[in-house]
Amino acid sequence: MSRKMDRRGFLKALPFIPAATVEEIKEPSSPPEEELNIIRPPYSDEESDFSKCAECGGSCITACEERLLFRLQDGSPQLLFSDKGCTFCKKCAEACEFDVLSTQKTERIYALFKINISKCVSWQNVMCFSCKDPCIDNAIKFDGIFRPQIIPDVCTGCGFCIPVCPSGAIEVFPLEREREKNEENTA
Amino acid sequence: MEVKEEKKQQTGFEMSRRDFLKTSAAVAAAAAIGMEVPEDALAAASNAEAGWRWDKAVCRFCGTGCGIMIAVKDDRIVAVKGDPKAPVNKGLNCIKGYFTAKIMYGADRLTKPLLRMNDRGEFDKNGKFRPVSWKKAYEVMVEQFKKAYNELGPEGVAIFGSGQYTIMEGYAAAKLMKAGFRSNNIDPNARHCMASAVAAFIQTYGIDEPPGCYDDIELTDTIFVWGSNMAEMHPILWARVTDRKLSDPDRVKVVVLSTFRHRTMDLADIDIVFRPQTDIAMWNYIAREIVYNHPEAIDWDFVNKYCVFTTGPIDIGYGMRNPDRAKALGYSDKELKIIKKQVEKRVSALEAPALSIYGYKEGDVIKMKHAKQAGKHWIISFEDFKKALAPYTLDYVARIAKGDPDEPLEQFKEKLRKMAELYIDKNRKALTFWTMGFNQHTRGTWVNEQAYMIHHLLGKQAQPGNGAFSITGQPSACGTAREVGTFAHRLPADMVVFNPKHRKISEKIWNVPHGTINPKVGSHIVKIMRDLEEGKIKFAWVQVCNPWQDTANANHWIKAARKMDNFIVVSDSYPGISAKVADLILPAAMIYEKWGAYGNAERRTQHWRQQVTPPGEAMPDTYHIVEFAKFFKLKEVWKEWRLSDGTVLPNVLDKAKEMGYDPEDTLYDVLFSEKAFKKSIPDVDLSYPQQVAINPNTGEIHPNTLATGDKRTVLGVDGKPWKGYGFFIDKALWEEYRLFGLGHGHDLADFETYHKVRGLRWPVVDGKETPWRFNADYDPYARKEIEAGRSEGKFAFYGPALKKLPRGNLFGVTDKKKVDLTNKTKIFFRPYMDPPEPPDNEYPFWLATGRVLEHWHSGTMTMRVPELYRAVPEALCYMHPKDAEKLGVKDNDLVWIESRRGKVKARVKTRGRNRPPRGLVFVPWFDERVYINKVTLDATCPISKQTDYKKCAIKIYKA
Repeated sequence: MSRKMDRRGFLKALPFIPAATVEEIKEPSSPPEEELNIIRPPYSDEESDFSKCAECGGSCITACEERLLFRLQDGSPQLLFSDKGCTFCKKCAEACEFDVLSTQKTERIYALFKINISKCVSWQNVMCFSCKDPCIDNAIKFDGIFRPQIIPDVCTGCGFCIPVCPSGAIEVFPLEREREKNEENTA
Repeated sequence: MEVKEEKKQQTGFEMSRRDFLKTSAAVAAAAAIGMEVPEDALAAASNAEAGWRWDKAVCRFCGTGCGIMIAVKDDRIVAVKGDPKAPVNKGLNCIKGYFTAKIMYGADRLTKPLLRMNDRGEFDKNGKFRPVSWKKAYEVMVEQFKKAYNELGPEGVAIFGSGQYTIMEGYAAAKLMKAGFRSNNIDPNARHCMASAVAAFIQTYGIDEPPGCYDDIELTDTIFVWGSNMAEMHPILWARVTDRKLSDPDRVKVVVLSTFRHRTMDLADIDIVFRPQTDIAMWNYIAREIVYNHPEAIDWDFVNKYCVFTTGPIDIGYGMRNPDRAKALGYSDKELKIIKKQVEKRVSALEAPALSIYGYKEGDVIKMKHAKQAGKHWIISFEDFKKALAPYTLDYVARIAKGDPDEPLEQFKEKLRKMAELYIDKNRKALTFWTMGFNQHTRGTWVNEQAYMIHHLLGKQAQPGNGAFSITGQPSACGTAREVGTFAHRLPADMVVFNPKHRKISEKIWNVPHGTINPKVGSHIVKIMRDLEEGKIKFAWVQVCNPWQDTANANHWIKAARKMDNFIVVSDSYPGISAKVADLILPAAMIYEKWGAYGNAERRTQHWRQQVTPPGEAMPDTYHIVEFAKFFKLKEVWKEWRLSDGTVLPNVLDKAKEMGYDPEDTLYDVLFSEKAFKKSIPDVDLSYPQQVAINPNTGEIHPNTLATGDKRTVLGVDGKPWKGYGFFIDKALWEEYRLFGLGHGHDLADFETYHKVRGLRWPVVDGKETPWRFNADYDPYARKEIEAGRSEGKFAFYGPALKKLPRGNLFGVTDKKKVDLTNKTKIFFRPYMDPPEPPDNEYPFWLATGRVLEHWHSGTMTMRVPELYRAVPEALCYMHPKDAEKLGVKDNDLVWIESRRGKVKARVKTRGRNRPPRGLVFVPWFDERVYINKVTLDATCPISKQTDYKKCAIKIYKA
């Protein structure tokens, strides 16, 4: 089966084009937003220093068997979901020579997975469980047999639910870790 | 309850106690959507809908028969939603139903006839497919048909029919074959799907189809699901079951039995994973519990008034070829090892205790003497029935039936015991559902009969909330295949070709001479394939099905199709495997591109109007069939024929002349012309347009390609622009067909009525449907029998077939004098016997095949819907993680799946929706790239001739 990628994903995947939308390019005054749009590989946390990646040839990128990692302009890796997800095979962390990624760190991708209920057919009384199957962590809860929701605490961010959703209703938002931490503290 | 809690965690289905369906309908329709979509967006949406023409229709897919609403704009379907007024689905949809209109808009839709030709433009079996005109297509097709027909007679041609035909299409095909060509070689893919259910209905009740209806779900408190993954295959019925369970979770119990874990088990209070084929033993265990340990549970009033105990022969084979014949045809030694069991088999250690009542012990040889009289049965005493059940103790049954090697035996026993208790409990109702797990079974008819055995013993049948209910696979397996009778042995309304009275009735309605209909049962669908392989059939026409993908042991049939003197025509909308092996492909209109009607599993008949014009030169199947009739003169078909067994079909041309026909008349003139229908249904208005053609919402006239032609003016089979038949042929076919059932317990309403209502469950008498048959509170036919003094109390099991039986004991008939069983039903005893190909050292795994929620049958339609393709792009080999580990494979690795007959490659899945026990794998069959029917075994139930797709032996290795 061929790997498919939408146009936006394809553009983002080109090594030297910054991961930003056209609108963002027009308004260069908001660089911090850029950081928010990046999903990092697993086995990293808020202490991971991605600036070290500039010196690296991208060993984590070539190590990823599922080919989810792509190199950004500054040399750091970005994770983009395609028709596959992350199996948490540890290969990226094992390949990292600069201790940016480490198997000692959490096996989780820092991204918020949400079901867009206006797109999700199950929220419109249609019996569909496509996202439930690949979710081996059972992070998707159905209210009876309808209205699925992703439980953030259980979701590891593996991303296998994204390609199988018939209506493309699963949306991913990169999490800025510090902010997430703060939100947790205030919640 | 602790176990239960843990399961909830595993499955991810939150069990809320609310009546979630109701809230869901309300919330999702209003709040959830409204909440998210801003007001102005909502207003914009309703503006956009302003030009839409909404109309009611029926879903294209499973036998549930959901009502849907279809919106059309500019001759294209733009939206589909669940019909809130439909009693079946109450506005809900499953994922397939939601995308049902998209099946019509796939990129590789067939739009022109395609013929294999050489460079000179002539038909060439080895040529490439090239587009031709309808005229050229029919010239070649007619020539090829006549070649086979004149050489081999009516037995040399065949139609692969369908449970997905509209009722009118199936009726036209059956009429052309049976009354026109005098051939009974028409058999539907429903043979693979429902035949065992049919055979058991006829054997038990003498009339086809379930006594009960879907309302039973809301009226029962105990639901048993045997061999059915309803959650995926009949999702809307499952939604109703789930709703029932959640509305009263402590009271309502759900028991699910299967050979592997699947989504339906997520809701189960008791989940039973059993060894393939041992469902028969488990039924007998329940019966033994009742008869030996809880005799007070027997409803003696019901049993004495309405039932007799019966049994039949066990030496009936497995519906395979004769081994000598197979050998002569070049079947391999490996294959022959299994095929030999058709003639004799050795009693295994597993089945020895069960067969001890017949005097067999382990290692004895059973000679299959009754393979040809497999359905024969006779009355036995209750004492014999009781004696036969003796071996089925909990110890024995648990030992052979436990399907998960990792489950403790004591736990499995406890589950069996609890299940039996739930059936037996006098304070509980019982509703048993099943589908392909029972029907696709080398003892499929038996295991269906056993469900009735238990329900009859307990008096829990044909009452609201109480019933054994066979769910249907296809959208019109009931409505078309069964009720119209597009089977090798059937005529409409449960009549059969071998009954002279039935032939006479049919000939009269069809206005054809007495003696026209061939009394010899034709070839069932598996046999049509076998006949093609043997050169007994040389012309086959595939209609609304994909037999080269769905028939087991497919390697043989591919070879047969490509044999030089076989000609295969495929009428289809997309190029499936059958189209690819064919010689001629005819482009077919799809469901909403024609008028039609389907009948669902609860006897509900539902009609729809044509919504849009078909694409390209695609035409409705009725056109394919009816136009073909124009090429045959009566003198070519109604002459004398000598059949292969010596039967002579008489020359009926003289009688035809007496009826006013000319030998030069065509079959179209006699069977399908307006003049013909004026004879059978003189009072019916067949003009078009008429009232029923007017859209109730917009007042627009719906298109009718068959009656008036359409905007395309396709060049038809005569090379002239198609302008329609000039009359409402769909209505004519319906109204004529209806004559067969009126007054015989199969009453259907008139054409107009169905366009006003959301379907009606037959028999429809005085405009009223019948939710529960045989029960005088609901069924006018039962009432009539009781009022006439032919039955007493509340029930009359008035089905007429097989109601005169001799008496005997477990070994056979002892008194040939026949007993009249009018208005009675039967309680069958059937023993446990092994399937023909259990796993062994060389082929150590069981293979079960089936479907997935997202794809319909062979995937020709649903694989073209991007959303459904995306959800499930390929068929996977579901396997236990420990088996994968042992084989050295992990998820997504490719493995070879190999049997004695063939092999395919598939990707391994160990943590998916289906979770088999060690030793069994499940592979769905929708994906033509994972052509699993090359691997499966074409053994059938000897009574029903339905293939067992759930059990064969395979080996698996890394690819």
